[in-house]
Amino acid sequence: MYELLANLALGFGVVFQFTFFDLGPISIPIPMNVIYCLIGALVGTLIGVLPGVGSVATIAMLLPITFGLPPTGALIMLAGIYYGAQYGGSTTAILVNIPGEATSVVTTLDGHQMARQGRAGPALAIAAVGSFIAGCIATILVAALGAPLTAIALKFGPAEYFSLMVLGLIFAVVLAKGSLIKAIGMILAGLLMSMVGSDLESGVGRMTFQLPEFADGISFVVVAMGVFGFAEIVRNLEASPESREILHAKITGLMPTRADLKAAAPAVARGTVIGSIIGILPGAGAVIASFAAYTLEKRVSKHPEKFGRGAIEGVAGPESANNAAAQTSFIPLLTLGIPPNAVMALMVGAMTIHGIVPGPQVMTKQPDLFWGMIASMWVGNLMLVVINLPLVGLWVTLLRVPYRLLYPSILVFCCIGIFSINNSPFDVVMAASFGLVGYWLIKHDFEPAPMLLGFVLGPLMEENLRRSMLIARGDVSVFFTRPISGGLLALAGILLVLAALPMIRKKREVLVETS
Amino acid sequence: MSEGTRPAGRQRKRLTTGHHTLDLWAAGSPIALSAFAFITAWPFDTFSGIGIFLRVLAFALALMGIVILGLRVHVPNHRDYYGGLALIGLALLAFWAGADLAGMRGFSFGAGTAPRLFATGLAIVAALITVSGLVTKGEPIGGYAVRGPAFVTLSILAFAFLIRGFTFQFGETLVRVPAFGLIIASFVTFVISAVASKETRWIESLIMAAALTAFCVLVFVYLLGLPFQLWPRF
Repeated sequence: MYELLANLALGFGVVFQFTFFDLGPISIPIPMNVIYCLIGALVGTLIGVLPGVGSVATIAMLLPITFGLPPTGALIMLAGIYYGAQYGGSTTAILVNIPGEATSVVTTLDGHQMARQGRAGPALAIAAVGSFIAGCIATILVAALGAPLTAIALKFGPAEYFSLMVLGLIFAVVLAKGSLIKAIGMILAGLLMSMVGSDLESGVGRMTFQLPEFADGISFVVVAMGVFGFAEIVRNLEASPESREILHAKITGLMPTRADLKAAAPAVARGTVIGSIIGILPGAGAVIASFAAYTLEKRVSKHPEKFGRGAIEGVAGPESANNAAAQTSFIPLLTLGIPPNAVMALMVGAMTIHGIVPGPQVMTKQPDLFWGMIASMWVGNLMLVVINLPLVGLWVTLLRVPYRLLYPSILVFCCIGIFSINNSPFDVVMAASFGLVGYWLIKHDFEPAPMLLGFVLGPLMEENLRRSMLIARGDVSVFFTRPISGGLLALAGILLVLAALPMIRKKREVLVETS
Repeated sequence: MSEGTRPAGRQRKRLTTGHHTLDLWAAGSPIALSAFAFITAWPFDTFSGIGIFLRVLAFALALMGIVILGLRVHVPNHRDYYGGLALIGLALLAFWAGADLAGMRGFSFGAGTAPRLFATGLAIVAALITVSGLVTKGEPIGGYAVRGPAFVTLSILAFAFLIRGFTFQFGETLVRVPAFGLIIASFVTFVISAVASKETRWIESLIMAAALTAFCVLVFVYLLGLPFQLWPRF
């Protein structure tokens, strides 16, 4: 307990570090990291609010703005961007009935109904406050679980790491939308594509087609931007303009009534608990969390008939849950170095650009960075409430910008973003081709998220597989005979079998249909 | 669907013969893939694991194509069928591109071991997806839009080529296209991409393009200090 407080104190110390700016006779102390967090949350919301731009695309697009910063500041800003993007998604869900991303799909059900009844203000306010409360509790949870999990992680050998990644990928398969086998196919395709580039041990170029541009492999941002950014634009252009209709009703009164608060409070509490637990699981944690929270709220409610007609619990529960899950999904990344979903995969990319290799050693070697980031999560959530409640009007105006002007702007931003990472026009060309790949995937009902996860985990998996096979002198049974590794693989197997069972398969399909 | 879409390409070459239909695309695709699989199998020893695997895959694909052609099998789920075939193609491409890589040496992995492992897995799973396309019902693929994807892609490519300039060989002469810089690249990208939507109104878009270009220059060059070249350099 004492240790936890000391660590959190260290974190907040880092976040609230003052930099002194000399202005002639006086010097002004400025908490730069708080400013970074503020800017991150602000631009994250700004981009996240745009319809059809999910949090992956938002983070990818905004990566370049963190390049000039010191590593700690850059990560704090990225975390801010992430929360901003998440919140921006909820805002569009409530106001326009377009979920910014999968996590806010359920928010549209009751949130948009509330907006239609002229109660957009309270809906947005409850979403923000619920997210903030969930964020506070999840931050403490991350801090509390960080140290013990890291201790376990340090005992892991390559075999355990490999099995853990298999488990993570299986989670991603089970929780992905649609067909199981297609999700597995996507993961393998991602793993295969990640093999392009120089071999780490021998330095031989692999599957590079003798192109020097492929020597470093395909950049993660390029793939993410292509299949999530560009493909999404193409798909939106195909959709009818009516489906992008924007709410023109005026937003009056932001404050929820006393009755609203009373109804929402227990929903927030339940959502936080569900979200925190599910978020730790690898795979599409935050999505499932919000669905689970909504289902639970509907089940415990005395008036289930109100759901879908503007019940405030239907906004408060899922919004708290997805924010708590968004937070706790940092746990596997920070302690084990394994990204549990596409957004975290992007964070890995960002960390590597800043020279940080995520994993258990970050906490021991760079404690200020580790705890600073955890503290910044809380600050980021606070920023969201502070910025977003007064700025709701501004976001609404932004939503009224027609898509015909919006998408070329997004496109130009994406191009500049990709180009500036390596100053490489080839990356931009690659992203364009992945955009077409993404469009093809949409047309054939393939989910791009598992592919992206496979793409990120590929090199890590290969390295650990190689090392464990070398240590075990080529004996494959090592993965099953070592207890932790065997347990993880058994769990993965059970999960896969369960998901394939007809009964549960039906439930999965129902879940997919509602989304 | 917008006007830019056209009916699914798969339906073009279908000759109706009684109840069954002759689907040349559905039969031709696995046969073409089978030929590719034979080519990829060439560098691998006939009796090595991968050699056998690739040859079996090639024969299976050829057989499937012939059966679809001969019995006039109707493919009920196009999304899975063609999706699976494309993934088989990706796996084969990986085998082909990585044929020169070293395999296992004793207990240690060579550079080619992991890629081949993943490619084998992908080929097997993709084959299952293809089969599921033959035995399950599914929605048709739907039309591919042409205008949207074409102009969006074109605009991104325009950015890539304008920002840095490029050189290419045209017959004997080396043609050099100069770097046009951020301002022209952003503006042109915006304008080309605007063609992708039929809702675009031109005066409004041109004003927006100019404003956005100015904004990008301000943010990326002046505020963030990223090293962009602004104007054309010859």
